[in-house]
Amino acid sequence: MSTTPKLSASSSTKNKQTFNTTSATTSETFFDGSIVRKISILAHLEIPENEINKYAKELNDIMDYVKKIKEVPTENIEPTSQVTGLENITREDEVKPSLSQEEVLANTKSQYNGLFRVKGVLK
Amino acid sequence: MNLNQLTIKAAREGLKKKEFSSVELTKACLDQIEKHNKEINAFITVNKQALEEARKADEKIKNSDNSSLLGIPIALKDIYSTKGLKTTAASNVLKDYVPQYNATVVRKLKDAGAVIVGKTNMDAWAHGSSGENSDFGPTKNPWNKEYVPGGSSSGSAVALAADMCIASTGTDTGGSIRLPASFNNIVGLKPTYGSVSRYGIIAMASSLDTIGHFAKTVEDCELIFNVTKEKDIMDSTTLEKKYIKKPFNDIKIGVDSDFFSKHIEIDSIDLLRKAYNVLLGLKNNSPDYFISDITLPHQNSGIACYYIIQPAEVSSNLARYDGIRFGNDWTQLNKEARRRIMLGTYILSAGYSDEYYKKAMQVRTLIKQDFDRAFEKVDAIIAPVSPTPPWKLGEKINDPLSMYLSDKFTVTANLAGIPSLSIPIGFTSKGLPVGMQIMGPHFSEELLFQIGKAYEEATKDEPWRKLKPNI
Repeated sequence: MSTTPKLSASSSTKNKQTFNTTSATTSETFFDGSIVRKISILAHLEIPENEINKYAKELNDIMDYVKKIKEVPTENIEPTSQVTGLENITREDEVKPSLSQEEVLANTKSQYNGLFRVKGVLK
Repeated sequence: MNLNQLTIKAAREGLKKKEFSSVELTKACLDQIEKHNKEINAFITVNKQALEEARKADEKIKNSDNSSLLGIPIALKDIYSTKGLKTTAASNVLKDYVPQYNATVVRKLKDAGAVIVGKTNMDAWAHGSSGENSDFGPTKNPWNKEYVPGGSSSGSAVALAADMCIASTGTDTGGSIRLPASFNNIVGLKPTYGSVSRYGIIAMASSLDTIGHFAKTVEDCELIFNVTKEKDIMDSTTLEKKYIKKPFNDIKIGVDSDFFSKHIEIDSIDLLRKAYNVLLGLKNNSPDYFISDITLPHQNSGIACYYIIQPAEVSSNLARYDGIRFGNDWTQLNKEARRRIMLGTYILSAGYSDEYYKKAMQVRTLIKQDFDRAFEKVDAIIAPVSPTPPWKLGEKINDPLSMYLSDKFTVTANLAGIPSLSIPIGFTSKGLPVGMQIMGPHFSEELLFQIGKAYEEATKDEPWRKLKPNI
């Protein structure tokens, strides 16, 4: 995938604008059928057509709840991505015995000549 | 008392004195599994080698080996990679997967002499709070089989409560050990992030995942932690740190009064108040013991913050299951995994990642700072585990958001990376178990164990301590 497309609910093309208001009472559309279809393609998920609307409703309910996070003032607050405070952790690059070829291939359903067989990526 | 009902401590003493063998002890657990697993569905796989492992343990006992878990039957959540033993994460994606290596923690438990009785059921990929998201069917609460056992480490908690093992392991990303511990009347530890290696444990949300366990007593819980904790070069987030130590008399405990009022079920509040008073009574002549005015102002943003960061990490972690090197591909993923992948993909997509993901990481800082401030005044905080006692099977399964909200008191410890011990404090009028959390600063596990043990000692003669599930 080259770029991550910007998503917008078909019911509101000015989504970005709606997002910037912090009113918790108006209900917004985060997920509708077309967004679920787009996201499922991005995530390589096949969602049966008859389940699309149910996912849209459930995911919309969740986003409608988590959007309240935007009401928390966070000016000048550093983001936390991990809590240990560790940085640049490395280990010795030692040569060690590894798994045998047989072990490595033990769980694959598709192999050829002792290699993993994958779908062609080039035509 | 049957052998399978023993604590680790009592079982180790019996084994040392040759009152019984590890084979007998293991057989007692396997018999219990054989008798009751059909009804409560705690195990996905029973280890066929368990008795052979027990025989080897008995040999070592004969040779005066004194390893701390030697001969003790332990059940592992089916998210721990076990060499040669099927590891499914309770998902059809991995239903035939047999790992080629052991997770670090599995290796450490085995090195300490543990006998692995089997792999326990769970919400698939550890996604859930009720155990119902398993592709292998829901686990039932042994205290009342119409109720959920709590999740995601559902099978491990139930296996222990139903005496199918002497101890068991779990993972806690947002409450997945503490919730089932409290729903099953057992002890559960969510350790400090970075204290126990995640290597070989199937990842859910890497910045939040912690590797803990269940035990019948706080003492047993501490014993296992002493085996599993250690810096591991295979997990670059583990670290070597000194654990906080303090004499019991100097430990100060804080409470946020919000925990006793808002959004929590009345039976649970009563039990929590009683537990609070027990702790108060332990030190009634030292007035500094309790400081009740700590506040955690961002506690209420916990779930919103967690349900942005966690699905974002889930969606990238689950991307590896393409079915090429092992397992089946994504088409076998269940609905909850699909929801989380789509949520994470949405949140991380261009335009929204700043609005949600970066914002959530900032709120994570605020949640962490709340705890930092509180721990300047106190050494530990007591809190509810769950806003309600166990609910009925099926009650929340069609409403993902209400399921998520049952973790409102537990997710903040994961966001801040702090340890939390869940201990039993009694039963509701309907006979369902309730637990309490004792949280502390990073690497304060020893203090939490001290408080937990003092509480256990003070309540050891209460009638509910003698109760056993009627399965």
